[in-house]
Amino acid sequence: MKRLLGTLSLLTLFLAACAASSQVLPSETEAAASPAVRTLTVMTHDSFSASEAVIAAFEQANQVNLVFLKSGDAGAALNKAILSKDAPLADVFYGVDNTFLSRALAAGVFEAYNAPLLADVPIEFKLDPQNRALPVDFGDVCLNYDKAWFDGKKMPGPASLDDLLKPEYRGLLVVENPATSSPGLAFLLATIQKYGDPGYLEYWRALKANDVVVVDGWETAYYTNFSASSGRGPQPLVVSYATSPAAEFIFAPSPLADAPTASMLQGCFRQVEFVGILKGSPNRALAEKFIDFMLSRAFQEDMPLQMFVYPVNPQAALPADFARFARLAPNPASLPVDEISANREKWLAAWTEVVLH
Amino acid sequence: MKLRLLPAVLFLGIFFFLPLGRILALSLAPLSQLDAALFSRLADVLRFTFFQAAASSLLTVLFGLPLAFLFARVDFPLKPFLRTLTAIPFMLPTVVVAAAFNALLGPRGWFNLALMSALGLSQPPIIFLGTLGAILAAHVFYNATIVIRLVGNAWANLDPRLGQAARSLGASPASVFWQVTLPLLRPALLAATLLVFLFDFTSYGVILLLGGPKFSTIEVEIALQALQMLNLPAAALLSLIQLLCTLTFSVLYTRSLSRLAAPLKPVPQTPRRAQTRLERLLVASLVCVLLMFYALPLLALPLRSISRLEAQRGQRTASGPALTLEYYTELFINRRGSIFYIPPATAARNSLAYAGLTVACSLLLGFPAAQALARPGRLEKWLDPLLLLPLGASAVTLGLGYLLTFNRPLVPFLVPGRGLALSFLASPLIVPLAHTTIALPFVIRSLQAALATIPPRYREAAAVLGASPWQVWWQVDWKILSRALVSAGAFAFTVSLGEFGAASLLARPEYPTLPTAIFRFLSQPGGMNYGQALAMATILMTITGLAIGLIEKERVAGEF
Amino acid sequence: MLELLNLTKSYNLTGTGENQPLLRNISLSVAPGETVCLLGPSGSGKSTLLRLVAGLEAPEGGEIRWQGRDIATLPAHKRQFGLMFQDYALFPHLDVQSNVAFGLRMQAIASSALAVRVAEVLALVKMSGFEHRRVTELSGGEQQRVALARALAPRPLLLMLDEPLGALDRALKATLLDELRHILRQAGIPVMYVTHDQEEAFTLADRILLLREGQIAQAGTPLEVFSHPADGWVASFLGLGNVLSGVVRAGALDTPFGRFPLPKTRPEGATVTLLIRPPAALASDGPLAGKVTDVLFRGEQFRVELENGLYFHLDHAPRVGTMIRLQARLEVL
Repeated sequence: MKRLLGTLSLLTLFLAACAASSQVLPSETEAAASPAVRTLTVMTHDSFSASEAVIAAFEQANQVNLVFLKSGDAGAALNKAILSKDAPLADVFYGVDNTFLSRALAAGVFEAYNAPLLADVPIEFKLDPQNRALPVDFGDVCLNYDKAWFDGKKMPGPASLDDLLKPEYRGLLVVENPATSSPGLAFLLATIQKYGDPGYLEYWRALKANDVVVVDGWETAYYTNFSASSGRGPQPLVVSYATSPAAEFIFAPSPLADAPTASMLQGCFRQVEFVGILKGSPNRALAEKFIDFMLSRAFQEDMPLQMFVYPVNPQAALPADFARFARLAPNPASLPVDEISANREKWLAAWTEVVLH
Repeated sequence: MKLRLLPAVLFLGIFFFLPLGRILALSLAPLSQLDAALFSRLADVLRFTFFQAAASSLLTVLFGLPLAFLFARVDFPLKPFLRTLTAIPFMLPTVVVAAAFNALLGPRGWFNLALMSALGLSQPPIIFLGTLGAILAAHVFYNATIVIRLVGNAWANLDPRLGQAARSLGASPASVFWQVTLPLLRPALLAATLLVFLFDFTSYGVILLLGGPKFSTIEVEIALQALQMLNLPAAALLSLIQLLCTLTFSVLYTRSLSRLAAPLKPVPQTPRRAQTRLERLLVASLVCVLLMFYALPLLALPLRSISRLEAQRGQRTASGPALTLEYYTELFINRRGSIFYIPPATAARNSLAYAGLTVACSLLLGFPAAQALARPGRLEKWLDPLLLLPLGASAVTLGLGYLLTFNRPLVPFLVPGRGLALSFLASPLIVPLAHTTIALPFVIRSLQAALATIPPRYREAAAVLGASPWQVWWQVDWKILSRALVSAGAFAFTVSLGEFGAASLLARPEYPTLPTAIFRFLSQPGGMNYGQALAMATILMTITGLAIGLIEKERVAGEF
Repeated sequence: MLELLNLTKSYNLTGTGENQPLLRNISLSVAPGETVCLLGPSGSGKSTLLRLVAGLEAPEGGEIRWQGRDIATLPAHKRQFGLMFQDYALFPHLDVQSNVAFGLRMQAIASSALAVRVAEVLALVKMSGFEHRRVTELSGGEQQRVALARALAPRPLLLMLDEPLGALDRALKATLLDELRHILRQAGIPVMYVTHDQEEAFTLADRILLLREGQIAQAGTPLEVFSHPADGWVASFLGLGNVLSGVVRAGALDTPFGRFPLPKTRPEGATVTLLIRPPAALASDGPLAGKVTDVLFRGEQFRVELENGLYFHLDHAPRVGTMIRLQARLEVL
């Protein structure tokens, strides 16, 4: 009996500690208290960002409280949405890109929504004809190079994928493992577009012979290996985004006259990110409003400096610093989404075999 | 089953075995769809996982053992500071440790820069990142503190007369170590080795960030299959293999431990200063190794967070970067008005609140469980290795399991009328509870070992003197165990603060922690982002250092 | 064989930085086959002396000589001295056999010879058949025997025993003491035996060294020590009788217990310690007198306590409350 009492008192203590904690942590938003304000949950990846003011304006106008559920990188977030589709965790999912799109559509996580603003969006971005996934933003994955490094060597930066095989660029390039990194996969797809299957493997064999460096992800490639970043690594060439020079300029610790990096606009791959209403959302009307908002100028003009992507809405004006240093490739690679989905594992396995083993 | 075990078993049942079971059941159903290529790769991955874990554990034990002796038996300057220092890596996110190693040993790290300018080389002479050496060094860096603490505790309580008896019987100091000290330390050593091995076996971040894509462990492969290939059956199969390996190790460990059990009376020893010149030399060189191995990488980080390197673009081998505090001041400004801006104080508060809760929950659940297991019946013996399993679980799989299990209310009628089934997953409690599942096995394990050393007659004496069972527990067990409790609590604290394991897969945007903030800065290009990430990492390091320092101080004061 | 010359050792009081002397100028020698007992109250430094001889601690001054050679810097494991610890310090991870064989293994003795020797010493301490028992399962007396066997097995040149019977009950102690005497005699090696119990010391010792606050208070055979205690402290530590100290006034000794006649003349005003052994006889003209406060039956004799605090052993019991006069031997120390 005494033992039972001991156990029970411990349990009580445990529960009390847990209850006390919820007061230590910031209390739930006031929204929960007032029934007039509804909650809309948006599931997204970790890179999602937006301005407070823009979000607040939407919340105010629609009497809604937005909750963002950041769920890991793009792959992890989508995986979670697919896993929980029987009891969805959110009303809206943002952040599936064209490399994962067919997967998301095949899993049937989205409900179609013909947003009126889609009319303005160029046809090239509307990759789902049924409008289950609606394009929001896009950007190009391109090689970035360290301008000072190449100036110092009195050497031009590379102009094409073929240039990277030249002896003078030996050991200068760092790329991300396409199996673990989304820009890495994009770059692999760019080479597949350019050299075809199985020609891309020849290209990678040559790239490997020219001492290409492979790391796990973008953070390592950019901050550890790339020479123009703060990590001051050994490689002056890195696979990153065509908007990265703008970020380098904007986030410089001391004001710069010029961006320290530039993008090679050949051999790029265009990533398009989509949003969709999750099947079974009880807040369908609100979710539609939120998607309209994401396609509206207010949000589209906020995106470039928050996430360093281009808006799909052609009416959205670009911020000056962004427009000055961010670039778009003239003819980026963009493989059909179904082809990517069908071959993804095969390509990755072959690439791993050739480059890593 | 003993009633005291019930809370812990229930807890792990709900927060570990249930989610894990659900994800495995869901994923393993379409197992037949797996292709043969995966299986052929599996052998390589398994081999490397075992190899690196065994090599890392061996090195960790070899490195940690002399330091365990140093901290247990010798009194030397800066001891509390150095002890705290060894615990800090344990709770730093891998990204931060990778950045620290990079700042020190990377291609443009201090060592390479110094050697290049001294020897007039054009290429960095030390190639560290992307090698097996980097993986092993990082594992030692992370886990040596486990050996130092577990073995050190046992060593500090070892009766010195046993060694003296051996000496008088003609054993040389070396023989005393091999024939007496080491066998007596074996239970602690085994426990430490198993823990280190399990951490290395399930290593993920270190392999990816420091080893690079050439190396792959089971956990890396699980993440790859689950998150990139969206191939859940493959991920589930791999998780199952990893779990079975963990279970095997745990069973082997409990078996060998019960065979070893030599009840030892703890005889706490006062550390003494080195006396002869040789002793002083040895201690000095050990302290030097300690400083080199821990202080240098850990100093590289704060130093980097206050130096501005951009000014010397184009002439980067030149020395003397300008010092600046702007990465810190910038942390307090929401420059771009982002809704995800995290003030450092808030992040620190959230981190500490989670860590505090994790400590409370894991001690309250772990203590009675350890008491039940200290004198186990048949059922308890059987349950014992199972309780270790969370240490070897794939964080990725467990995270997905949480998603499946807790996306609807556990007890529906308690949470009525919520539009979405977010209830439990959205509760801020889920994070410390997830941390508790990881910390609990260790807490139980270390308390169990300490409890076994309390002779029952102390409790009987207290009872005869009129203490109620509750008072006996408080006056005897709690007081005598303060040392073990503090180190178990410190472990739970660090598990939570470093956010490794399943917790990183749980989405909790409302209560961002320090590691979350660091990841946010690192995900965008630009010198300011990198600087702020390092500044935030320095803050995390300082807070954890202070917290551990305080705990250690408490421990010294409360020693019997 | 063993000679200690002016050994000095102090210990550092933790926190104060002051050095507390433990042993001061200890000189002694142990002859072949001799059993020397170090007798003294706790804190007198006897265990420290053993640890110095064993080599577990280093002296601050003085010499330790073994057969003429100074071994003060020789490490413990090279001295070939056996040491048995107060609470035995048996290795808990080894069984009885391995505990006993430990010292032999250190000498890398062939396993056949080793087994023979282990069996031999176990037989000597009457522990044959216990070879594979865990030492933690043994009783106190059994542990004591195993510890003795372990110390004897490697045939040490000198055997040191630190309070070996301290933790045992009285009856067991008496039997073991007797056995120990035989075993030590059989072993035929020099022995240093530390104890605070004079019964053990008088039973075993060829020579007794009385230690007081780090110094030797008296050395000699048990008989010498018993019949001629060096001073009042020795006499009262050994419980030899009533120890009185006082000043000589007019040919007699003035003490807090009263005035006593002096058996030897001493100069006026000198401080003198007097030992009055308890055996006494009632005598109407005896020099000692007092009122009886307590009478205890002690087998063949009665212990009689007087009002002035003195006690005596008498063949006949006087009545409590009566005044008696006594005859007893008075010794000036």
